[in-house]
Amino acid sequence: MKKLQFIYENGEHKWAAVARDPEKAGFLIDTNEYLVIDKGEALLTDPGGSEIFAAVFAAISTEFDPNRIRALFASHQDPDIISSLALWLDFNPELKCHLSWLWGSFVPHFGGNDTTFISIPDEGSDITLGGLALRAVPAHYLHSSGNFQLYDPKAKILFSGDVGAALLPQGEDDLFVRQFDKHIHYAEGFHRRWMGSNAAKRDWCERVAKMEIDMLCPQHGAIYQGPDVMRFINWFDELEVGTAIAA
Amino acid sequence: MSEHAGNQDNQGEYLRRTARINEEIKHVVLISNGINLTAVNAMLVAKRAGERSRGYGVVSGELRNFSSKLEANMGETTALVSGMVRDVAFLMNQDRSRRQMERALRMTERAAGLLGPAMGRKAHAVAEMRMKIHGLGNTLSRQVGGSMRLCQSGSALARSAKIEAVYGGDMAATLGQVSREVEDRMTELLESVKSLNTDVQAWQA
Repeated sequence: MKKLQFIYENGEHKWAAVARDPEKAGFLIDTNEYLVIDKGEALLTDPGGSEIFAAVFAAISTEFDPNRIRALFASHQDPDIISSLALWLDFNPELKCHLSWLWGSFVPHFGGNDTTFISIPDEGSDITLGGLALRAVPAHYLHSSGNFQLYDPKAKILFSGDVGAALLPQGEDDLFVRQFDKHIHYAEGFHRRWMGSNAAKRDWCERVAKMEIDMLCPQHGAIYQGPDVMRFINWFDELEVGTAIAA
Repeated sequence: MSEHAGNQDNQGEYLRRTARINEEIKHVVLISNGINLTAVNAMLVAKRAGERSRGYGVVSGELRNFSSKLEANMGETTALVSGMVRDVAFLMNQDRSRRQMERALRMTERAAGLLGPAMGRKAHAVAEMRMKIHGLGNTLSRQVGGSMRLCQSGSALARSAKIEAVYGGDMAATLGQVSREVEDRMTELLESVKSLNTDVQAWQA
């Protein structure tokens, strides 16, 4: 079963990572879901695919009442991000889903109706949770054409979606990056192939380098903390992406 | 567990009720942790009282035993319900895809022949999971019944502690205060477990 682990706690304001299921089928890409909690309410980022709904739901239930999840945040439209949407809505029909306006008529194929989605415009938007002002940060073309990350300025945490992702081999299951130089090898192939635009990458690096970030939390792989955050941004800035065209 | 009509509202409600029971268990565990602390406190006070209240010392020792048994009981119940939450969520997923196939069946007669085998496999998987959950529900019901009996014996211990406190000489006031704490927590625990038992019975109905 997946495990829920608190990665940030400041009174009623918490972040938890739902990750690392040893029973997960090998043909499913591993994913990290994050629960942002404040004043008893929560938002769930990239809730995951339908095949892992049970594992994610059960993991959350061990530490937090899933009835108090008010909204989902979908960084983009991929099935590993949001194909569990219909199941979450079966559980709580009142749930809202924050999503790029670009995918507003695509993601309903996974579930929901015309009242489910809160469209995020290309420039991003504020998202209120409890007493928090979270920010949907644009990251278009990294890799999806309509792509957002979620920033918590109080916790200084950036949920970065596929940016920062790493495909970790079996046995490498630490939730945090401990040895950056070793870890980044697992991220290189993913970023070269999945990230489609060097211009978009450059723009993102410039903007994010100016943000105060203590933890960069990707949807796949391990969390970068402290100086590893800037190490990653600098590494990504130097990397040539969009390699399928060259091939 | 009753046979749900298989519509999405029922399945969603089923998962909601299972999640609620999980939350109630967590609440009971919180209270039982408090009893553990109170039992330790009672033992420390009894030690200080020494010979002045040997009877209280015996009762406080039994309270400590009780809280160990309660901790083990709650650990088993928590693991059981945690598994049930996962299984009910999985059932909801399986049932959803079964209903999607049924929708296709209603749209065209030809689909009946094409989807029949897949429907059969899905229906079999759903039925198996329902049976498993039903079995877990019976186990949970027995487990919670055991918790209730344990709590009732705990309440009796709390009453004994109050009686013994009176014979504590110059420590009687302190022993009495600790005993009242034990009794209050035990009352709270018993009420919570009774409420949980009611909800578990309703969930199974």
